[in-house]
Amino acid sequence: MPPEETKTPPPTPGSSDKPATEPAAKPAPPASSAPAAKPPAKAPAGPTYNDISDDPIVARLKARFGAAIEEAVELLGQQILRVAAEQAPEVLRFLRHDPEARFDFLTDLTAVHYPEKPQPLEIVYHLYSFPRNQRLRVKTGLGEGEAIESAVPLWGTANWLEREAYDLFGVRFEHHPDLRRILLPPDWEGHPLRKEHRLEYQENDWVRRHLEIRDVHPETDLTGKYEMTEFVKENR
Amino acid sequence: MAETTREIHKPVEVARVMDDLAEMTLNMGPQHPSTHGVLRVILKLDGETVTDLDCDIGYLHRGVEKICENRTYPMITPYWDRTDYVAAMAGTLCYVQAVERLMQVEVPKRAQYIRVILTELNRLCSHLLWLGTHAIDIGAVTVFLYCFREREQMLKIVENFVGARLTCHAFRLGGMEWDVYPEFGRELREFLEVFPRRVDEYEALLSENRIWLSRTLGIGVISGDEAKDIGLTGPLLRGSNVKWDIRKAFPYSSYDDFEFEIPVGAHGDTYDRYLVRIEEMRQSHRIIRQALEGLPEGPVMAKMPKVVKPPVGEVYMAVESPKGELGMYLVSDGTTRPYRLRCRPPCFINLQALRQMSIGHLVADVVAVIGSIDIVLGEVDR
Repeated sequence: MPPEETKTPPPTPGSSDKPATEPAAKPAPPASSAPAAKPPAKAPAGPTYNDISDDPIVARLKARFGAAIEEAVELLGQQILRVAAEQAPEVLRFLRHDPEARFDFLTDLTAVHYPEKPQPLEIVYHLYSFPRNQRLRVKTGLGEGEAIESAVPLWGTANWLEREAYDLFGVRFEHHPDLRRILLPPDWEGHPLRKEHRLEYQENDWVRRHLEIRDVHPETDLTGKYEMTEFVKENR
Repeated sequence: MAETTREIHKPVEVARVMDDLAEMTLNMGPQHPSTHGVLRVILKLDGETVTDLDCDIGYLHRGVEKICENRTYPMITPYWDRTDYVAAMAGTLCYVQAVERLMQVEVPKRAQYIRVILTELNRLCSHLLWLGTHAIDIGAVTVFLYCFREREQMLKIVENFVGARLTCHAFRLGGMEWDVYPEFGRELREFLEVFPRRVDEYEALLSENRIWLSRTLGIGVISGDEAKDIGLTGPLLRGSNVKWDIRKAFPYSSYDDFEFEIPVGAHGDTYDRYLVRIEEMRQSHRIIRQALEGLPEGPVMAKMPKVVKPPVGEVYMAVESPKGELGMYLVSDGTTRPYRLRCRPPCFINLQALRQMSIGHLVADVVAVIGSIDIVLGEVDR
């Protein structure tokens, strides 16, 4: 369905600080002269989004939650549901307990950071139903500083997964039994999987403190900010 | 409870007596042989009985997912060898399949079969390493030597094939880099010939061993519903009598061409998980034999563009790794680097159940339970 295709927000190619597609493709031409012709040929090809509003479970969700079900598409045979954040906990509860949906297994819970969207944090739930052998991906957007209700009462799996999302993205889950960092040390600052967090974030104050590096050159930048040299920029 | 765990989470002295003298906090790890790496378990003990438990993980956190956002697609492949390094092929297979699915590339049948052979060999390697170390944890040292004898034989085949033993980088986006080497079939057949007898040997050492039984029967019991709730997959879930395997539920890489059974346990204890893994080895042997006999002719590499640029979109692909469901959630923005690559690590999620499975047992049983979860800290921490 073409309208669906345009409606689905592409993951904002320019949003990251990557210098989009053109410079990245540059290293190839020396190898062969063909790639110049390839990108236009590849651009239209791509998976198509199919509307799945007539799917029985999606239809029931739409009847019950109305506009809160913002989008229901199928991509590469995988069902994706986009839900408004306020209604997300209720939709998840419905999917968990509804006798026809019965998504009794939370495969994964993670987040994706789109710094330039109005709702920069996207929480992604991968659900699975054992009785029906079906997967469903539920996505919901969160604004900066917003919190979402914890899914721990629905699936015990969510406990550590939410802690990880909190640790690496700074998503706050309300009523989580034990929301603290899990992979990074408790006194770490920042959330490294956010896009503004550079990969080359090393010489920061935490490392200096814990490795007891005392003799730091007075001009050393300990904020973790990293300036790319021209060479790195050109060769990314 | 939340307050106290937070308190003991601070870097504290190795063991200290709590205000209430009946309860004691004990740090196990991170430098402890039976934690299989750098897992730190903070135990609260009443005498020798575990009343509460908290895992401190992250010692091996390398930020693989972040690194992947900054690498081109072909560059990422070897990173997934290094998360679960005892079953490197499962990680790589999952990653390349996710990219192939998003690019809608059809991998040649021959490459799919070779992938199956190598991944199942790797599953055997992983299970044998698990069996050897699990037995050592419980006190049976000999088994380790038996297991490593066969593991060595398999690693030789893998080494002859891809040039490396552990972090193999066996698969490429679109297929295989190489076809099988000339002696591959003979060497593999020799191995397949002896392997079933070897599995019987392990069983002879353990399955009816009194000490083994008393250390594993009824330890770390988890029911099927609890296992689903806490997100267990793989042999742990099957040990709890849930007949579920991704190779059957969502067949990938031609797994639906092969006949094999999904073994399940009845009680969900450490002994059942042991039996399930032993039986999985026999089933893997079956799969390898079928794949080798039915190995189709043809190319091993699909037609791939020189610059790998998946279209805008997202995909979730899961494989049955030796530890459980290993999934990759890939979000592409149409450039040469993934916008986000999330790994659903089975070890991380399975380890979460350690608390539930250990409370009420003795300290020594925690060792048995950690062993039966079969964690690899490289994957837990990523």
